[in-house]
Amino acid sequence: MSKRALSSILTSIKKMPPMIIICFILLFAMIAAAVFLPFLEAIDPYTQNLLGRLAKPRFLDPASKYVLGSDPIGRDLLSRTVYGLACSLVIGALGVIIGTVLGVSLGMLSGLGGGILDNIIMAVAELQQSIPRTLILIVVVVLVRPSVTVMIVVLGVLSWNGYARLVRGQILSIREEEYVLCSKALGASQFYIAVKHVLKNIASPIIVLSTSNLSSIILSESTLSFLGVGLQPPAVSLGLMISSGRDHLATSWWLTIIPSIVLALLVITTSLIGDWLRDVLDPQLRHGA
Amino acid sequence: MVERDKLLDVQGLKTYFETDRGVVKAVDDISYHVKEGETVGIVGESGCGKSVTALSIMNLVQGPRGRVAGGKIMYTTKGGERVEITALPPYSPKMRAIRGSEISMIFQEPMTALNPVYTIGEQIAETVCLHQKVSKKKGRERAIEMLELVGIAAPSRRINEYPHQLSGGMRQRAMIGMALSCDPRFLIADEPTTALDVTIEAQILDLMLHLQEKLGMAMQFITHDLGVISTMAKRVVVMYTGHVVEKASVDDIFYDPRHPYTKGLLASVPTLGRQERLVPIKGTVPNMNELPKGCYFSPRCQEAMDICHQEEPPSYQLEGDHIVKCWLWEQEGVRLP
Repeated sequence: MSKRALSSILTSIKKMPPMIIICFILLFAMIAAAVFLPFLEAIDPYTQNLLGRLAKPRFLDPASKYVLGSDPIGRDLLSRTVYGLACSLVIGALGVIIGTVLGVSLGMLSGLGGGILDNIIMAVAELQQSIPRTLILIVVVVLVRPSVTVMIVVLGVLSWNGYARLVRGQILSIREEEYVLCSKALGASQFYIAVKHVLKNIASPIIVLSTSNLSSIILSESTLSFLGVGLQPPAVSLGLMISSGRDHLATSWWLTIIPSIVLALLVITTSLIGDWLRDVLDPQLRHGA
Repeated sequence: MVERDKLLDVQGLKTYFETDRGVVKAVDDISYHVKEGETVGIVGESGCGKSVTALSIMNLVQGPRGRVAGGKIMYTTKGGERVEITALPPYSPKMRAIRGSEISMIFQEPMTALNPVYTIGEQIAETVCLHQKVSKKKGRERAIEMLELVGIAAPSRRINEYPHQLSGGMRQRAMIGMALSCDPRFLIADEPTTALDVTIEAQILDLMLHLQEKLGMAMQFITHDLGVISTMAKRVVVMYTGHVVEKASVDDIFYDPRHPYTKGLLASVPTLGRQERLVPIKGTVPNMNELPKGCYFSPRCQEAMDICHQEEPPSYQLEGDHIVKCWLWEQEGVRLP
């Protein structure tokens, strides 16, 4: 990366709106918690303690043994939330990587290759688009025993079509741009044009789509787990926690509310950062036309 | 004339496009040449094959539907080698080496011809780096040098700006700088001033004349504006529906036009101080899929004879280097093969 690109990134960090700074701090705090807290001995999401069932969190009962209370079979809610968060982050991140790699390569194949290949790829994408994603997920998850790996692969693979369409559309329009012709006229090779003009132009929409997909994959996993067709107990997931806490909503509301807040924060921060990235990566918006 | 004088020699070029409604002969058997250091103007209405000729010279006619169907384009490189451009694969290293450093091109719309995501400097340096193995720093220095050459103030600041931050005229200047960054000997300008307003147009034309003199390059100036041609070109090629209808020196074209189409074009240009009504050419350019029989201009031609509607006219050589493709000159001219 050139020095100037670096300095332009630094200026955009300096110009970051306070909201985005808060988002970054929150997101990093959540990532740090998910990465480092599980190494602490005190963090144990599985051990049951029937004597300490439904303990109140410390902000309600200062004498409580559990910082964020405990669930109906006496498992530490803080530990479970941390594990659930880690689970969401892992599924989200790996799912996005799978989706991006698969979608971008198929999109490039479709856009650059053209012909029958293009028709087939786009027909499959359209077919998938026309069936509700949750329905496909439920069918797949019923056929295959859901585990974290299965969730990552399924959610990742199913998100391919957004990228593929985006990349294909961009390629088709960029290929006809006069600056591509101009670059060719000044001696550029086709490979050079694919990397320098096509990739550079589609990089920022891909980054923006990835961040918005990150939150949608996290939400999908939680939705499935909440519906009971995602991760199965004893696995820990924010969706599962929200779902099982529902039964005790009237008496022990924190069982539902705390994981819900964490999930909401995770989704809101990632999408706001995604929006901000879109603005920063667009040179026309960045400098003000 | 000695062959060697011809920097670019287009011989019977045919560029065809396959469409769903048949073959479109966008360029059909045209011949002309450009000598070292001179400017040849190519004039014609939209769709007459001016730009396709330029793309054929650059060997950039887009497949799979477009192809050079006949004829050849010869180019003499800096090293004195005569290259048959039409025989080279479009993306072969040899062809790529010709583009940019031998033959360069500037386009009509400077906004779309510059990539919006790169700064001006990056794009000029890119061209330099494509041809000469130079460091990024060298490329940047060259970019500043080029911007200075094309008359952009504060070039070391401007190279860090994006195309949308520059005005239309400045963008076109940057575009020219980019095209000239590898010292081409032949520049194709495809309507470089059409998108600009008149005062800027005058500045850009002035700049191009000045640069041509300074760098000693040859130019092919494509335009539909006869006024522009009169200031820029020494020789003029008039095109109509893929044919060259008249070829002559700029003075002959303006003061002694022979082809009815050229006469029509001149009659439709307003002259300062004369109060005459402008006479437009009747009718419209025929659809390239449904070209008329005989001479393609015959349905619009005031002087059309019977034979014009029956048979395509050959080219006739008149006195000097004046060549006209019209039956009217059957008696006076020498029929060319």
